[in-house]
Amino acid sequence: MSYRDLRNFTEMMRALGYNRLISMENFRTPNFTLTADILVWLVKRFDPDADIHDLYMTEEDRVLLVRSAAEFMALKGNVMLNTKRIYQADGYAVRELLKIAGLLYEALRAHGNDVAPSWGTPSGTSIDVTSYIQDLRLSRELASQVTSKGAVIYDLLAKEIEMREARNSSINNLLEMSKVEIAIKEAITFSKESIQNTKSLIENVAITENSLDAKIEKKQSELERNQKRLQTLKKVRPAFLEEFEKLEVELQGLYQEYITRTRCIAYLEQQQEEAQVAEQERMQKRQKETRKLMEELQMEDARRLMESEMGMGDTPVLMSSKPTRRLRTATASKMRLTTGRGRVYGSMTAADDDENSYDSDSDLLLDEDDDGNSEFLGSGDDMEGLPLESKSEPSDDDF
Amino acid sequence: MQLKLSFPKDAEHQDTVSCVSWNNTEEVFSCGDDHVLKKWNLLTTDSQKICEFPEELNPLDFHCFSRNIGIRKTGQDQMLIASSDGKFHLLGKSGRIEKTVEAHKGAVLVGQWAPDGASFLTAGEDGQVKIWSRSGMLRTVPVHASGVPIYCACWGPDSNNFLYTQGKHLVIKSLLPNVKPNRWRAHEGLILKVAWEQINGRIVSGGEDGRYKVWDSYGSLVFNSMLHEHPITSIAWSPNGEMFAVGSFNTLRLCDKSGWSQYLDKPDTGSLYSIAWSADGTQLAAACANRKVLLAHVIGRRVEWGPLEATTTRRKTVVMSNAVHSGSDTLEFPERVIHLALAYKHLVVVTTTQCYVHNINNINTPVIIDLREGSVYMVLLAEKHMILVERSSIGVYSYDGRLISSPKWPSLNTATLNPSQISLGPDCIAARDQADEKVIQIFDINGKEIGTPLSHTTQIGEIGLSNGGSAFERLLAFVDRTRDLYIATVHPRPSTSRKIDKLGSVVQSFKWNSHLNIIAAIQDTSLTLWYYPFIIFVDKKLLRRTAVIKESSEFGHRPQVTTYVGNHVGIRRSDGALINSGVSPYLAILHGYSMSGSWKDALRLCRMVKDEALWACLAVMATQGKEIDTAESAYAAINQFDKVLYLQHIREIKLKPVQMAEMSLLGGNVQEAEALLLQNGMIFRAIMTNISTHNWERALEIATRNRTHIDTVLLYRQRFMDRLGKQEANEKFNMLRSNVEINEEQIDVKVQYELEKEKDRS
Repeated sequence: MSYRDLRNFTEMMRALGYNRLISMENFRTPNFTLTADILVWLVKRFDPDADIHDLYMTEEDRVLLVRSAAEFMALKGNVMLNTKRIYQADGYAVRELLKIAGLLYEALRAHGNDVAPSWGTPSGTSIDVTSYIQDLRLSRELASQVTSKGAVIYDLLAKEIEMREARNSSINNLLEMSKVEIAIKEAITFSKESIQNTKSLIENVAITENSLDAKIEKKQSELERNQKRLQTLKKVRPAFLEEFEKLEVELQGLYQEYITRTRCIAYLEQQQEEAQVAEQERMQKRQKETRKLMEELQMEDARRLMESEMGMGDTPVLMSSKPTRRLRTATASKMRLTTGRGRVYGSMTAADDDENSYDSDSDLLLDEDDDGNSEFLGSGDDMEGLPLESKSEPSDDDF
Repeated sequence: MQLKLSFPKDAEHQDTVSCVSWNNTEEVFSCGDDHVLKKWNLLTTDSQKICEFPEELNPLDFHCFSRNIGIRKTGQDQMLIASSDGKFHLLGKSGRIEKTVEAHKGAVLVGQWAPDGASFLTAGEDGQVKIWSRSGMLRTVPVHASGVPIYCACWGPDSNNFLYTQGKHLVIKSLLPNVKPNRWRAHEGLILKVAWEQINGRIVSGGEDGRYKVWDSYGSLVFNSMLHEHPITSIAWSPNGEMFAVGSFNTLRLCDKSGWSQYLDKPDTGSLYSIAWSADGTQLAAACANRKVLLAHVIGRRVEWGPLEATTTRRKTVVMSNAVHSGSDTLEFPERVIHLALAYKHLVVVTTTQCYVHNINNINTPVIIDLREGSVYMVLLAEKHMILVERSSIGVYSYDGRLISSPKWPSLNTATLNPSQISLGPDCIAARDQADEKVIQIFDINGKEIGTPLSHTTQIGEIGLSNGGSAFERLLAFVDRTRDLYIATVHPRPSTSRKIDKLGSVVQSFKWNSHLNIIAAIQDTSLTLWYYPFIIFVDKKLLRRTAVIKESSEFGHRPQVTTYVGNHVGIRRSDGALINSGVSPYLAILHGYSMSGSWKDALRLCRMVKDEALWACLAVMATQGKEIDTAESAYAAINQFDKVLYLQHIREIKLKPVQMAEMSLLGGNVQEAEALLLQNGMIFRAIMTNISTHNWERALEIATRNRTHIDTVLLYRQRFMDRLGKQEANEKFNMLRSNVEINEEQIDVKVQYELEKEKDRS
């Protein structure tokens, strides 16, 4: 492997703009990947549309790649490549690749040198070709024109025989001067009239234009005036505005105050409501308690009554008779009042805990005679209400 | 800095140009794949075909070695061409192939002469490096085949080692036996080019990864460039080591020595295969892949001094501008401008054959000096003189164009003289010896050696002479290899040796002030100013107090002091940015007062400024000036009570010479004090001074020479030895002991008598 070849090769590739750095050490050992990459790149550089096999994974691919590249270069570039050496992918391959790269580099250099001194000539070649193409098209068109014109001329010449007589006759036919004059004069007058017409039309146009201008001006001034008026109106402060603003501010303040007050009231009302609800709850609780107590008492009374009734029959073993009697009478009267409900009461004792039953119970309580209810309310906590009632009852109904 | 490119139009190569080389400062050789060797003359802009090579010879590398490069002489001795067929060819002057040697298997990629021209190396694709003698006889094969091609190799600053590429690695190999090669991985891609600079020893390498990197000579990275689009194909250092050029595909870049890009051009050239600088470092030629030869010269070089600035705007034009008056002068020269120097109110412009010395006050009428040899390597300016370093000699000129002297020393080689290793003071010149890096040669303006050359224990890097004060206060500062800063007195005082002492350590770079004896140095990353370095010879304890350290983050990494003019220190950051740092102006005023001896004003100044460093400076200055009152107040201000007490003691001494001698002692100058006393006939006191400084032998010497007080010396010596509990080991004392009788009482009487006598004298 020659150091010089490799050095020149890297330099050429650098100048050609190969996108990867080629190190001096790259071809010390066979490096087919890089060789193939460079080969494909160079061929593409030669002809971007070149059809080249660009796989190199398998042996067949490699052979195919090298062969297709060599064929391409031999055909297009007239460069003979030693395929065996390229396949070696070492320093010798560089020497082969150098042939292609050198060709491209020389082209680049020659072009660069031409460009450097003057700008006109070098790009001429490409332009020349296109101009030739244009010439070609032009000449083709001309050729077709020539034939068509020729055909037309031939036709016309064929007509000539007929036309000749007519022409000759018309040439021979002398025109009368006066007729000609009159005709010409008529034509003149006609044209004059038309000129007049158009002139008047033009004038009209001018007039309308003027009027339109005047209108536009008028409108313009009007607009300006209105604009000014608008401005002045905008500037002028209407009377009472200050007072209005003051009042507005005041109103704002008042409204604020109102808002706060309303809020306070609302709050207080809410408080009150809450207090009422709390009160009611407490009351209901108490009622429930009293009801329960009462029921117990009634039950007790009923039991005692039954016991005393039974005891009257067989055993007189009893406590003091008087209060018992009283109770009995009270319960009796109650029972009388609530006919048939006594049984229901009896059954209620068991479902004392039940909330629903309690509610119905309270309903029952409320449904009871108003007297009893009001009495309960009035008595409050006092349990003395019961004995009081029991005291008064005997006086009411004298047995 | 910029490059102005040109392409010779009329004649071109017929194929890729692969190599260029300079014949002398005006002629370029080029050859390429068209087997033709061409010569391009830059003055007459014509080209000439020298010869045609045989068909099979494809040159890959080409190097002209010229021993004497001058404008008028065609100085090439021999040309070396490496070709792709594994041979190298030695060509004579006419281009005739004199010798062809089969050198490598595969192409020979490199052929390069050693800097001394005694040998050359070739490297090839087989991975070998071979060293050949001047006549083409194989000497050694330092690198054996490794299978990795060596794309580039180059010689080190001395011809003892060379650098070569090995894939992604760089290797420094020494020719000396038993030295391990230094090998490091340098690039991500293959390294294609490498260049080693002769003066500072920096290396720059470029490769296929599209980067160029700057290394120091130990292989540590200094700069890493940004990514280029294409591989770097050529690199070359300018001969003075200030900049280098990098070539790539359609790219030419000029960088300063720290790697920062100064200029970039994209000429239509293809890859630049080779770049070569002319010997004066102002022009370069490059071989282009598209058959052209690129020529370029450097313009836009700039020098400045205070408000003045001079720039080369074109090849033959220098524009001089003054920032204060906002005016500018354009100076046109008949020839190409090679060097430019501006300092001490003088602008010196060196062209190819002449040297123009412009006075700033009268810029349009220069003094013109005809150059003796026509190639100037360096220009150094001082207050009244300047130095032109030419090809074979160093010339000291006065500003009116008179040659004063040309100092010489045996190992002088002006071509490789490093600008940081030669220094010009107002009245002397110092240069590091090139053969022995531990030695500094010192001359006065008239070319006479001052004392013996200064020799140090380790290799010396940079040197600098102070610019202020009188000739006897001249100081030489130098940094050695371990980066310690030392200062030394230049003029040895009578009967004393040169004093050397260490001022600071880890000093990266330093500069003397342009007019005063103040040093500004970069220590690590901070700027240190030694207000009065001489103090180190007087009182080391005060050194700290007179040093001011400025810490600043803006100095960045690896800053460097470049200028110190007036009250401004110019610092160059590693990225090339210049930073100006102000210095207290009082210091300059104080130095001025002390030089003119107006101590009252100096005291007033110090009282006003109330700076301890200034007080310390004044204390030592006053001691040096033998001003007791000023020194006393200054020492009092910095709480040196012992000094104050001693000064009060001195004041009580009535005898003037004794007083002076005591002041000298306080200033640390025992020899001076002794000389003063001896001059004034106070032998006894001189002896006693030596005794009290334990300078026994000197005391004895004075005593024996004057034949008095020998016994006194002996007695004091004996007492001293008894106190230490040691035996006398000095032969002289032992001998005299046996001869002289010591009577203590008598001696005491004698001493008393001497003291009385002194009192009488006062």
